[in-house]
Amino acid sequence: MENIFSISKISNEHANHCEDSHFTLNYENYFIGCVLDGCSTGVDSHFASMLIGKLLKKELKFCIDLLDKIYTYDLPTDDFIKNFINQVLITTATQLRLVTHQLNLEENELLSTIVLAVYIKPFEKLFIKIIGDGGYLINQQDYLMIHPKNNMPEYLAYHLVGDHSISNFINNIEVTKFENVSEFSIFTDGLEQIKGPESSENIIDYLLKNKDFSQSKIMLQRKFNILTKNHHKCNDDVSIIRYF
Amino acid sequence: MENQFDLLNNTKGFGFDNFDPTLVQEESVILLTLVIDISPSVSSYATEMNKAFEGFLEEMQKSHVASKLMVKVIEFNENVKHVTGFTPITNMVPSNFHFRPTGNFTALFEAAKEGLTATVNYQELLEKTGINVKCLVFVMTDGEENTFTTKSSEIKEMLDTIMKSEKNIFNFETILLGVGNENYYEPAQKEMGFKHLATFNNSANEIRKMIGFISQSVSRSSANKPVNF
Repeated sequence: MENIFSISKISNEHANHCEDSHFTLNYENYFIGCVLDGCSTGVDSHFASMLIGKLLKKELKFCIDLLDKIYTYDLPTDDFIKNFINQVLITTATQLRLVTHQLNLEENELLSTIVLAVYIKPFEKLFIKIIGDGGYLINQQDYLMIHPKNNMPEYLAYHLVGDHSISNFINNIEVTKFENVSEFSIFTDGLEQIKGPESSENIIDYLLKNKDFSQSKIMLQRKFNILTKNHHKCNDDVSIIRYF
Repeated sequence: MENQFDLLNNTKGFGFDNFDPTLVQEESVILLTLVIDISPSVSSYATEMNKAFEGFLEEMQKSHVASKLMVKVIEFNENVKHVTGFTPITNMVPSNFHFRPTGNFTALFEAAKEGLTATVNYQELLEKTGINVKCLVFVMTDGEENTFTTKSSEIKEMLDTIMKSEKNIFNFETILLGVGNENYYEPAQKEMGFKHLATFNNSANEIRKMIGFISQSVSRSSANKPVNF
């Protein structure tokens, strides 16, 4: 039985809005998860992460039908999936540019990172693309958190000026493939900003490896409540998706 | 790194009759404890109470708070019987509840104490497992304590301790629902330190009103509003 848990948790530093967001899409053969981190120094960054998330989700929903049809006849190749991810992101960015004009938005109202994961269940293959920053943990072993230079992520919004710029930017970011994946997590960089009596390593293990409360659909919410009760604080908003 | 905060060990012994805390699916729940007098003096309104209680459960099962509401029922005469542990209201069968006047005496203080103890224990257990909890403890009676197996001061002390905890200030309500002559139960409410007293006569209309008051309190509690009259 598969278990899917997700949360977007507002930090102690923010009063009104969580600037991180997430979504999941679960199909028979595919699971898609995405976490987005609105830039704290941007304007209305909760809106940026939500808007990009909604556009991306819409595009993925539309395209997943196509992917499912192709899968009926043959296994998609790795290159096909990588290309699929890039094309979905390019279309999303084009849509974002359109909405930007319609709403007369400024660049600093569109700043959000993206971590997108596409999991092919029958073949236990996982593809991850990170735009800006964020991280993943695969099979409880391979942990990676991308820290951009000078904490200045390369946001998608910086590249909306022309079609060429969008596709160049997206195609140049690697889609990482993992095989034999039975469980994984993706998360925003706020994960490493949870501070308290326990070490960061223990906190990350507790949230991403420990399976207490997995019978409860609110496993991550309960874990955060327990951390809070035990004097831990989120110093940044954080989004997490766990699949096992 | 399994169970590094030693949490699951703490959930062992949650009580045979209580719902397994690890299976709770809501981040915040309301614990509703109903301690109900079934001594012979309640005969005058028992039929109406049973009818109203069944209607109450059915109504709450359909309400917007149903997924968050866990109910425990205790009945008492000279003995105290835990009819159910804390159970999601959606799992309860309304027609199974039938309060039959029996016995000879009224162990009001012992019943109140057991109701409070059970509530606090389960509250702590849920909180340890990451669930936010609000508690409503209702004691429904028409008479005065006459077994004296427990002193009212014990309950007062217990309630004072409960209310000293910051988390309980707005999240732990105690209400005595009195039926008939208040001279019988009003002193008990004060001695035990129950926060509220609501009085009703034993007419069918008033009994329905009393049960309606419980559902109102649950709704107010779910909306973070204080219980009022």
